[in-house]
Amino acid sequence: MLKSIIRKFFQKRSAVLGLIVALLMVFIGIFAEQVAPHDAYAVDISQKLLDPSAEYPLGTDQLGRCILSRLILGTRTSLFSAIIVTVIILLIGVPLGIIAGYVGGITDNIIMRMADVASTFPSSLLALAIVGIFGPSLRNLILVFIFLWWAPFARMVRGQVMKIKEMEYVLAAVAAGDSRFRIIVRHILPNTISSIIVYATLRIAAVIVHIASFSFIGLGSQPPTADWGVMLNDGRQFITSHPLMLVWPGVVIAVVVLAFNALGEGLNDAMTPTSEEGAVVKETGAVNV
Amino acid sequence: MCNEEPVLAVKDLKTYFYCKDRVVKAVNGVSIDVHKGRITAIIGGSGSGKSVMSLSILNLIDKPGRIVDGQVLLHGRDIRKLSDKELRRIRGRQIAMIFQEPTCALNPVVKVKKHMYEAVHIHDKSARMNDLMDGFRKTLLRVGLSEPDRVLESYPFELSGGMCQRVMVAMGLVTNAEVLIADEPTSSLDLTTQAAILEELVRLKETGMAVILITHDLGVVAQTADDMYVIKDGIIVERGTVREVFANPKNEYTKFLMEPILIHN
Repeated sequence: MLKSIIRKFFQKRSAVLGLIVALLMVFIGIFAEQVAPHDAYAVDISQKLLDPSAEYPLGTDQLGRCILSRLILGTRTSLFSAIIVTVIILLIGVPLGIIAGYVGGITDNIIMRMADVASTFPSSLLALAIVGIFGPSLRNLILVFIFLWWAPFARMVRGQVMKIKEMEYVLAAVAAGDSRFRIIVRHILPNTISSIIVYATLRIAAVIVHIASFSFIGLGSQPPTADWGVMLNDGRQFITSHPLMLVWPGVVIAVVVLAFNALGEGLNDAMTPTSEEGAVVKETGAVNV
Repeated sequence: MCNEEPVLAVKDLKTYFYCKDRVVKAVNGVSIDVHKGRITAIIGGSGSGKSVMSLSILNLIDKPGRIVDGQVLLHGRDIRKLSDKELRRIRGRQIAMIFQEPTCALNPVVKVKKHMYEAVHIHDKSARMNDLMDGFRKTLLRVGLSEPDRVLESYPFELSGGMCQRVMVAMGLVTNAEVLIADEPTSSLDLTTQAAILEELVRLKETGMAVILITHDLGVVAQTADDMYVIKDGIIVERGTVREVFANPKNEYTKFLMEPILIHN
């Protein structure tokens, strides 16, 4: 089955492109210092607001810092914090969803009411409130997203688990003497994993946009951090004289988000036909940014 | 019937389903004896309680259902009184089960060979997949799957319903359980394949296994079973060896079930 998923995935050009871009960005993020042509934080006022040249491929900003290097280093703050947020909400949401769906009863009720509470907060508003109280920083922002976004994961996984646990092969596994833990690991998780992967991929894209937009309005990463949102904000003042300063980070954000969405969609399509699991992701509204 | 001590004895088993406004008495005081080296058939129409009874034996009844009364004695020990952990040890190891819905009873993301391997592995922790493959191929051939290699490497959703059913039977055949509960093992198969599978069940009982065959098909019973119980509305209405009952059915319902066969003969 893995083979057929891979084959299907690679038949779709946008998905492959998304995968390549996503992997490339992760690679760039890991080796940011080595890849960047200049020090992203080296201020040189004499070189400020230069147009693209061989020395500075994308030009320099108002403090004479290399824009390309800042974009490359920004991969680390933007993309990596999105990946961290997604991994943590996976680690919280998936186990809670499995427990709620599998155990049911009061446990299910408690977990789902917690999820309801988390879902009722509008994410932007709560983020504003939190950074308003604790001060603007990327860390506070990440905590807000984790606090809110484990809920849709838990809910999706719970729905899948509830569906799967009624399947006769789970009963057959009980009849064969499997323990609860073994049934979850061997029978339930493998059947939900495709939805989880798809949802996580799409979620990464959403988190990138959110972090960038909060950094843009000055509530996320703080200058002089190399962050795509911060760079957008820097460029704002020069929109008439040096519009490229605004274009570069915008393009990077758009490309990365598109890449992760294409990757998620591709994975979804590739994994769907064997069962209707993929449809669940679509029902939950995927992640529209 | 057999006078020996039964391997498995169900005594006055009652399984009720508590619905919103009423109680459905799916199994209402059933007693059966299952003997080593014999096939015990449970016959009944749709909704007669035969599947619920077989699920109750392994304590697999979920809410809103509940086993309200009765005993399930395995070698004289009431398995309803065992802890979850002890019960797990009996499931699959001492009492194995072939399920009715073949396509649903196999995990779609687990290959057939792995399913079969796990059926063996439950008893024999030292079993290695590679050593077992030859046996698996032979077993699959015996239940009428002519391309065992392809089937072993397949995922259940790549097989037809009938093929899955035969895989399930094959899993039942490779387990070394003392009691095998086969819930309608031939319901979606053609007559030739059905005959092959029944032959395998007979072979299995000759190795000393006790087989519970749940079916609505009296033809199947006549071919294979030793003892039979006729169940209707959760109550056993007739019991005896197959020979006795076929020669001299006492209950009206048994006669009713037999009518088509009698006319045919």
